[in-house]
Amino acid sequence: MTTRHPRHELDEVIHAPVRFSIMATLAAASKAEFGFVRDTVEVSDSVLSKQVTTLEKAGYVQVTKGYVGKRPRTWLALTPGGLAAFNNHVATLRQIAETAAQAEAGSDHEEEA
Amino acid sequence: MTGNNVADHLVEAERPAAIVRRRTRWAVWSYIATGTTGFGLALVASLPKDHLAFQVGIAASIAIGIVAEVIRRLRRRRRMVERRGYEVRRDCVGGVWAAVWGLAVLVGSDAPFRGNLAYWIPAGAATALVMYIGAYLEYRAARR
Repeated sequence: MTTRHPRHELDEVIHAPVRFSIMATLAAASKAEFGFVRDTVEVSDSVLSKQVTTLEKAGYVQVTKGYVGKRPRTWLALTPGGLAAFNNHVATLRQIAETAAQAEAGSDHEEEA
Repeated sequence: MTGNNVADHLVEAERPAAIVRRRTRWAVWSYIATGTTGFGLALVASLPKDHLAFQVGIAASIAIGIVAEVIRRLRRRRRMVERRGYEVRRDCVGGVWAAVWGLAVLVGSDAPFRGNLAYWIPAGAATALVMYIGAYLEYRAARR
């Protein structure tokens, strides 16, 4: 019986580089302000807004608008499903990395033999 | 997917976490500052009310409280990120600290303990210890 390659477990919504960075930022925080995420991920407001909309539609990110004093603020947070999906995605990436490392180690042994 | 792509993603998974940890270090220091201030207050509370040091200590406590509140409000305006679980940890540690502090003051108000350093030093240390444990838990949480 052949086992499926772990890449089939990767989440295509999360895997895109900018969305992955957004999820990684929010995974470390309970919530983060829009500007902080923008500066950490190093994208423009419009790019971040578009990617956050995609993640929100997927149910991974929650957007909360409010005020601190008179200043409007937009806060981003992962939903429980989003955090689980991100952790699962990272675990799958680690599995792929281990598989690749084992394959490389195996081919090195063959060369030495 | 190549090994290099995967490695890049795994590096990127950790990079923002390091930034969040760096930007929220203040949380650990706020616990330490609160614990240390609480210990100082306990020592002040051990002094007789007509003692100059008591009056200076109370004035200093009020000044520190005002400064701390101003800093808290300014930081809240500028706070861009919160560590995962910070509010829950803060509320739990704050609740335990308030209970220990309240108990220390309640017991300390009894005549045998009033002005008695042999009571107030360990009582103050106990309240400070709660906050120092909170600081350690906050530090550990960021490492996960």
